[in-house]
Amino acid sequence: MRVFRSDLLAFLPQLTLDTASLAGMLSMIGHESEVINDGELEVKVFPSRGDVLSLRGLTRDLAALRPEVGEWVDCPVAQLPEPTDFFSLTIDPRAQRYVYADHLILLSNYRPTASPEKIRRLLRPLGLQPKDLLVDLTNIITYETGQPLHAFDFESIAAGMTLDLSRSGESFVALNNKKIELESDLLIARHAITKDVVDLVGTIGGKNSSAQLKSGKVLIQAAAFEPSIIRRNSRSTGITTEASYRYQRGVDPALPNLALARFALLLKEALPSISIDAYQSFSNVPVATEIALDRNYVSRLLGHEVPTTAIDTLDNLGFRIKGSSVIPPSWRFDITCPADIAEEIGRIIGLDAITPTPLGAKSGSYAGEFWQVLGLKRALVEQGLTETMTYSFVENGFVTLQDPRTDDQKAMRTNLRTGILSTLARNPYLHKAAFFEIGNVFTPDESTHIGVGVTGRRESAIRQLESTLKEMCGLSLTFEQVDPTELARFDVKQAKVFYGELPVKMVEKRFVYLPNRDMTIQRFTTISKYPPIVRDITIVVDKTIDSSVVTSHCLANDAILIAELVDRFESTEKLGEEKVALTFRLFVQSIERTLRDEEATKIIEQVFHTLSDTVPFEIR
Amino acid sequence: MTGHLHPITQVTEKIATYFADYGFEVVNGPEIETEEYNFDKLRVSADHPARDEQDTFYIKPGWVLRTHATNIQLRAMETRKPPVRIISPGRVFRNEATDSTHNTTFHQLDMLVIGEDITLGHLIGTLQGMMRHLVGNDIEFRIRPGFFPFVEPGLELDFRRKNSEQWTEILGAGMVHPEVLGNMGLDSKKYTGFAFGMGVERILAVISGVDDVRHNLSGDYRFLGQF
Repeated sequence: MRVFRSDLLAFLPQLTLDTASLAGMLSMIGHESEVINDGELEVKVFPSRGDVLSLRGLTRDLAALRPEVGEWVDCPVAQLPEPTDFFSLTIDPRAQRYVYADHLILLSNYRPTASPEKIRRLLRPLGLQPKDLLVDLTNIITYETGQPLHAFDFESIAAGMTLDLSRSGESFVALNNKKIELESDLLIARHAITKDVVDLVGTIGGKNSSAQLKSGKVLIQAAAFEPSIIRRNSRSTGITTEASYRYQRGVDPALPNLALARFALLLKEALPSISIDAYQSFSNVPVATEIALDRNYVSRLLGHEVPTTAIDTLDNLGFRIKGSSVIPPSWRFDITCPADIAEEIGRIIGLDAITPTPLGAKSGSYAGEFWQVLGLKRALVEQGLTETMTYSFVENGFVTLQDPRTDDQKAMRTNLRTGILSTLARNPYLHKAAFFEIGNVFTPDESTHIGVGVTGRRESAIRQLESTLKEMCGLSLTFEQVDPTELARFDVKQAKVFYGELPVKMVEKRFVYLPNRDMTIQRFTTISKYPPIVRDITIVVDKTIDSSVVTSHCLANDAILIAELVDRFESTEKLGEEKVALTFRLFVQSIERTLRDEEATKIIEQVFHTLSDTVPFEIR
Repeated sequence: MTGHLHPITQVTEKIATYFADYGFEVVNGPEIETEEYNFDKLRVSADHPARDEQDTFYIKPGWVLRTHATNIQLRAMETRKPPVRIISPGRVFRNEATDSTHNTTFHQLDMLVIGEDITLGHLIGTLQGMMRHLVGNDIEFRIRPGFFPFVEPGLELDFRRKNSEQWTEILGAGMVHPEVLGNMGLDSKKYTGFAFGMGVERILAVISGVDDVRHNLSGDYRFLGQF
């Protein structure tokens, strides 16, 4: 909800906090707020707190919990006429439990009028263009008080109206000119004689009773309903309006009278010639439940004593204290059990005031499935494989989505092959690579698989890898070469790719997981949107040299994104006893543009030139 | 050749290792879940607007791709008795447009602690301990009320480094709602508990500076090879 700080002053005339402090204070009482511009806030209201979706409700909650914002002043209202039964409003017995309140005023001599400047200004935070005085005023009343208002053309329904549940197959044309087919058991209003649907209650009005018919006599309705019936109205028809949004979250059954009196005041000020002929009220407010005020329970839940002053604050919040129980105010649909009272006490004392308590150590075990899979992953990484994670969505599968986001994401994967092949396709510059993924597949039953894809090795090296993975990782994988047409379909550029997959439950090794409590996770370096240049550089150094000295040196250059050891070659014959050949793979990138080959060469030369200061080496 | 463990695995491992020292068990659960376990038993009923907070992928009537890993807790409690300390990491799904901070598929790590004397103070102490383990000791916290239908009271944890102005929202948590305890077959007069859920990608962004959540599932070696 967008809120202008200046509009809050009507309810909190002594408010001195600046916008940022106000946002902070609101956030700390559960109404997360963000400063949009100076003087302008975006307030995220919990879906359980319909009562806060207005200037009046927000300031009322704030003033009760944080007295330092000053006194709360309710909005000025006009005197409404004495209630009479000027209009025939009946409520079908089936609908009765859904209707909490229905208040009506009758206006006459209304001619479409443009709103005066004062009214137009109030519309600004709503992001609405001024239309007609009545429309503008109903929007303003909703913003101020939280009460949705509905304007009916009185002549169209002068015979009366029945609130009823719809029957399957009924339909009506809504204000937006669309014909709406109704399911059964939605809350609607019918014309008393024709039985036509004139309103999908709390959601959208019918064209047949629209105040735009301009008879000059307008019936303004302020009502309150049981929230879930309006949610059903809205969900069933797919129509969400400002009114249905609020009704679903709960509109105070005690609010309609005030909202109409406020409406009457603003209307009379803007259009003195208007006549408010009559007022009618119907109320069927459900009896509020008493909730135990159990201080022991609350302090046991919070881990904090309940201060005696907290009870006064509950009173400020509108709760009635009745011995050892409390009755929540009519606007709090969210308070139903003692844990909800604990939440209020938490808001009163401030959650930051609660002392953090350690849970206490207790010996753990690393034997479960999670640790086994982690052990397997670590063993695979040890063998030079890299873990990838890819989406679960594929084009075809046994388990399909009802509402996929795109056509190639219609189903849940049946294997991990697609993910591994797309990972290779994503990295065309890796001529030698090995990836694995462990994830759930749906065949259609859900199970966890491991898939491994390898490229850049000869057939003999592949068979060697098979036996290594069996020995070190307990994986009885058989790698098969992926058909070139399949590689082409996935846009895989590497020529020879081998793939193997099996269910994780077939892993034949038990891993002993050794926790590393000090593990650190590398800082991330931004990846350029331009392609990298990847080079393998082999240098010959003394065997005593730690390869990480070389990689750290390379990474110190901003243009080097990745530097890693990919091969280590020893040969007394070719290199001598003391030497070793190390092959490093370097990813060179520029954030601003695509690098030319010679630029990358220059960067690499520069890096190795300065390396020679600390590490003696020969380029091979 | 150098291999790399995916950073999501690394973050999960770092958290799980921390909690193993407090006797937590790590539990898995299904990615395809019933509406009953994903929503209804957690008080996210279809006739409440809280259901709209999570855009859901539906498989068929009554079945969804889980929108959080909280389903695992309900399932875990069918075979366990308090005192209970569990964490449940897992892949979760939301039917929403993707950008640098949102993805249809991400990873969540949930926690559940139930006992006879578990308080909101324990929850706050546990969260602060975990955050210090992940980010370092030089941080301060802010705790705001939060709304999640399955907890009451609920809270949101923000943190910032000591020399920073800006608060970072990190996770949601709360005391397990008495009705949810009831749905777990527990007597809410005898037992209390706390639960939290956090996005693993979010933690990774905080501790490592990953600037786009979509990197995680891209398969791009320029990302994977950095960790």
